[in-house]
Amino acid sequence: MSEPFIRAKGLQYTYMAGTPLAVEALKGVDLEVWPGEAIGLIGPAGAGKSTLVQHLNGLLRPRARGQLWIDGQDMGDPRVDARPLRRRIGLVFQRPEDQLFKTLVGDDIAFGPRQLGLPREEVRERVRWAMEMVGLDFGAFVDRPVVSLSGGERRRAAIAGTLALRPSTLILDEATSGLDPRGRRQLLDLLRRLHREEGTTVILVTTHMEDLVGLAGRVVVLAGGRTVLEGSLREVYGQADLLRRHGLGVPQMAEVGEALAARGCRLSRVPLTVQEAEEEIAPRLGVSCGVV
Amino acid sequence: MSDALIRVEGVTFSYRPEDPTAPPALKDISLTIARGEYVAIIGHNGSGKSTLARHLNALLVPTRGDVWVGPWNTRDAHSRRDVRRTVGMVFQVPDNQIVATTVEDDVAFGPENLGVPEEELAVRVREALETVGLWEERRRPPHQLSAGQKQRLAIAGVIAMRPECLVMDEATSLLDPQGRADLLATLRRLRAAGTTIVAITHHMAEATEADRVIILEAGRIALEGTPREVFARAEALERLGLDVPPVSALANALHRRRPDFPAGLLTVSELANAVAERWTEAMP
Repeated sequence: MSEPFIRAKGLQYTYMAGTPLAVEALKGVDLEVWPGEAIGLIGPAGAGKSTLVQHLNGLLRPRARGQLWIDGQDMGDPRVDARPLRRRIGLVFQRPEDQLFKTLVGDDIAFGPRQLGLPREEVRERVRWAMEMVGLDFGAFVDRPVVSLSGGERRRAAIAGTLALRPSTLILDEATSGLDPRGRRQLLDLLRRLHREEGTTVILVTTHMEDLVGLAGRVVVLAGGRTVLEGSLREVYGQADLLRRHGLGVPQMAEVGEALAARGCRLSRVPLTVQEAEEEIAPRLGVSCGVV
Repeated sequence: MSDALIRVEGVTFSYRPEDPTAPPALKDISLTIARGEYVAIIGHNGSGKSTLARHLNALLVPTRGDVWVGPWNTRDAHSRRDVRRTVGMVFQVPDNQIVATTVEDDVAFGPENLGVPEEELAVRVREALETVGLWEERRRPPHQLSAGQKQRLAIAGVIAMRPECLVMDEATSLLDPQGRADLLATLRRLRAAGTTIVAITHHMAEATEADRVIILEAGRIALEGTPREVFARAEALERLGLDVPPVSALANALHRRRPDFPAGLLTVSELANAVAERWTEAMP
């Protein structure tokens, strides 16, 4: 734990650099991720989240200013080969189900491990493990055509394809968006299990700040291509004004804490869940039958 | 509700009508949407909500029953053009709806096809892009936009055709909170101008501003009412696998502990007021 697995310092990136359409996506990102951590990366649309994520598995490389080290390697050095890194860092894009391309679920999930040249038996074992992790029953789903799956099942099959590579770090870009509440809960449970039971480092990029509760120990806020805030969920969610100023929403329970404080009712901590808010508020409600 | 814009009458729909064992996606649904109304349709995946949305502008026609948009029956192939001019659709994945190489051309595409004259076209494009907050990006290629910006672009393309009714099929599900807030502000403006809005969503919080919430489950209407009525019914929503918006859930939880605390509250400030009225400082 002496070295962060990922370290970005003043990272910059410009799309279409040198043209009139140049867009500065990253202007100075600082980020450290330690092995075995689960962190949240939040920011409004256009903050540079997806650009940053593509740097984290070597799809984009630092070109101008700023530095990025991953697992001790300087990613700005063009001699560093990013390919071995991609086996250890799994990246799940937005709407990963659009990238399913095989006819059968099992073949799609097996594609990655087969590319690695693993023996048949191990490929099968990995596919079985990955499907069970995401809650797709191996026997029932392995030979199903991809087209027969529901939206939530497709999303999980796509994530299983990444898990089958057995990455030590998993980065998910808006993985829960577009899922219904049930599908969201299942996916977040999966990430919690991967983090706690398998020790996987998890970086969850999201605009749904509530998704991070119970999963991420730390949250990094990106806005306008820069790191603007970093801390525990309670520290960050408690800064309602700052979040709003950067075009982010405030999780509803933190907003309740803020609205109560404005009315002179102070809670002892920033509530993150409905249950926490209930526990904070209930004892302070006067007894209705007049017995105080 | 006499001024009905859309009437759904006893609609049953099956994706495989020839197979009697295939469960229909919609089962005998009837509902009326009034001119100027804002209706939220909620349900989880597979509940039939997108199937219902696709009936509202004749992308699908009923297996049994009828859908009327104004004076037109959606079954009538000759009236499809009028139906689609009246009811505009915005889908969940904007990439499938983007056709041109610049933002402004993309917005112009729809109205241009309707034969809108050039001068008015420019006005409509500007108005639509300003409404969704993308005027500054008008010369950029759409593929460079973020997911949220693309969704707003898709909405601008539909708004520019000035439909009487806007159907949004999970159009906000890929947006960030700011994008969603901007979009809700856009909806408020459109609504003030008289546009009828049907929002298909599984974001319960988004339904709080609607006039009416309709909850679908397994192709039927499971619950219907004002947001306040619907969100106070925590057990029913939980049984349907839907999340109550956090503020309503907190109000319901406090109501269970203290029956005089109102259930079914919708906004943070309503809740904070109800708490503040009952607040007692801890004993020293």
